[in-house]
Amino acid sequence: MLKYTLRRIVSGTLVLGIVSAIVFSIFYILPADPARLACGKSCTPELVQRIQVALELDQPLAVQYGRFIKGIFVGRTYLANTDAARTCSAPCLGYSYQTDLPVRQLLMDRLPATLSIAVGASILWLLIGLSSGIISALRRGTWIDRTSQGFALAAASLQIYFVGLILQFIFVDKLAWLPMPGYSSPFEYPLDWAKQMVLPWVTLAFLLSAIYSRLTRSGMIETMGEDFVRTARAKGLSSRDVNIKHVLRAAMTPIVTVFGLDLGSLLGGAVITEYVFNIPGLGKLATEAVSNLDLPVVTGTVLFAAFFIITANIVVDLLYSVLDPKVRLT
Amino acid sequence: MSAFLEVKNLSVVFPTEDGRVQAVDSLSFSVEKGKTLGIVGESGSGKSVTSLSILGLQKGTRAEVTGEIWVDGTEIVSANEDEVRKLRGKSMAMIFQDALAALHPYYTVGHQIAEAYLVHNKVSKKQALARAVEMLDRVGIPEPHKRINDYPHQFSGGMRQRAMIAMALSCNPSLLIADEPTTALDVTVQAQILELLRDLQKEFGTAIILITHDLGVVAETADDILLMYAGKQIEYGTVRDVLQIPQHPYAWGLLTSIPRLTGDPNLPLTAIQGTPPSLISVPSGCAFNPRCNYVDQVGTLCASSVPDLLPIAQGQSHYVRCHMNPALRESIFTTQVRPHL
Repeated sequence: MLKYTLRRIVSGTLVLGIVSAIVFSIFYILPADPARLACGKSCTPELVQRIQVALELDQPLAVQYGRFIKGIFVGRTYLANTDAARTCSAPCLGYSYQTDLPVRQLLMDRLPATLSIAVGASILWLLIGLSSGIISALRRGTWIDRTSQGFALAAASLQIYFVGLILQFIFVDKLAWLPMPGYSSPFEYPLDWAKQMVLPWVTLAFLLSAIYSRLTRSGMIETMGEDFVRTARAKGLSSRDVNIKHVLRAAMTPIVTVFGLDLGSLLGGAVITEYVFNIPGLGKLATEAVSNLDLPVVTGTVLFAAFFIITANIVVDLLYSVLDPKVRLT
Repeated sequence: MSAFLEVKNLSVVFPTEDGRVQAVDSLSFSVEKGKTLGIVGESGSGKSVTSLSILGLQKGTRAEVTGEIWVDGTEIVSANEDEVRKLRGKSMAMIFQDALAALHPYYTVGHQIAEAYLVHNKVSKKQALARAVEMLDRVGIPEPHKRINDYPHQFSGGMRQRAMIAMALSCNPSLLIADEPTTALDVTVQAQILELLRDLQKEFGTAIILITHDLGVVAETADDILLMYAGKQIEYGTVRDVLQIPQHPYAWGLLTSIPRLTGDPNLPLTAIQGTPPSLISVPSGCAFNPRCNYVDQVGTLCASSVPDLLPIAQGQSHYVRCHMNPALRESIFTTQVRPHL
């Protein structure tokens, strides 16, 4: 188990390395010049060149990438041997071309908003999705099942930017029950935080609970036909015990897997949700950075997202061995 | 004395999109404590459906069950789910064919046996686990206190079937239904399991219904035989009667199909011609008539009317469902069938 975990961490780190290399290469072959973009309107060729030197864009790709990797592990010094030298301690992800702020600080500033969205929404969609899926499976074929599954199909077909804007129009603009979505610190202004987060949560959960409802329903119905469920009934267990301890327990495993991966990718930035509701999270940071050709920030957000996805994968695989005794990790 | 289990006119119908499937048709039989009834038939003849009906496991499904099933004074067909649930596992228990599929993959064997005991007994979890160890020991699993922590996939096929038996017997049921308990096992393990069932029956006086398509198993273990074909019982009597003087052409076919060690190895094996009928389009009259070698003996009666289940002679407990009269059957059996047995 320990050996397996270590091996997965090592291979995960390698994947992160590959991801960063790909991001670097894409930017290198891009026809746009970040130095030109940072230079502004009154720009001279000399100025562009000075910026290129300052941003180390004059170096070959391999050197740039090597310095970037070195920065992560041991830190690095920009413009060494000059008056403008500045040191960036490990783990250094560089400075934003746009704001000149350390990328690490930008990421840490944006993480709480994304974390708030992801955790709140996932609790909501698990609650709604699982309970409606279970009820649907137990009342298969009844009007409750048909209504909830019809609703789920409709919800899964709608998009965040549609549902989000509609909800915002109704609850913020028309009814004025909620403030404009945004982010406040949950520790300083917990009530504001919750009020501002309601719409992003509901919008994300709306879509995802539909998927989880269908997943739970089909998983449970499939399990109900298994021989071991018949055995459980033959023992004289109550239908409640049969459904929860035997059916749901077996149907849970794939749901846990999907949930881990969903949460992982959401932590890397709920891009559309953050964009729709204008919430300063990682996803919004990433989209801004891409449109500004802000290479260090793009690399930072991509690596951060990749880190969450890889971690979620490892956690899910480890959890799988706990949930399913037949799975042995070697 | 009335029997522990008494089934009267049991019928089970499944409404399907292709029509109504009569899986079991007016079945009647009884089993006393300490006795074994072997139900024999081909796949799809209604054996398993019958056993599920006895346990009341078709309640809440689309199956339409009619008739009477009396278990220890309770009528199962008309009883509600809760009444039957209290009998399940306690008064009547079942061993299923494929033990790997019939055990929950995510729970330990010990947990699953303890669970069966906990449902019907007011004991602590610890006591229930102690019972599980005791039962595993009783069915011959070595080091049971260690093996209770194993998962079903860590057991061998024979051990899994033993664990199933331990689970079924944990509450000392008076009726045990074993649905092809040895089909998936090799012959030596099969013999061990049958012997185990026999020993346990002697010890606890359990009534056993043994569902199988293996006549050899029935001959060895059962007291009575019920022969089923296309959902109907076609012959019913003591093992001695049915195997010594079988009455139905289907029974003759089954018995002559058994390969003999003394037979000529160059001859092809004897088989019953044709295949079992689909339950959606059962042949009219006697369901066996398209495959019967003696269908011409009684004119066109076989294809037109369903024969009644009648005792072979007044006051006999050996029943058969065949249009041929007893004298005709006896002459065919002695001249054409017995020489091949």
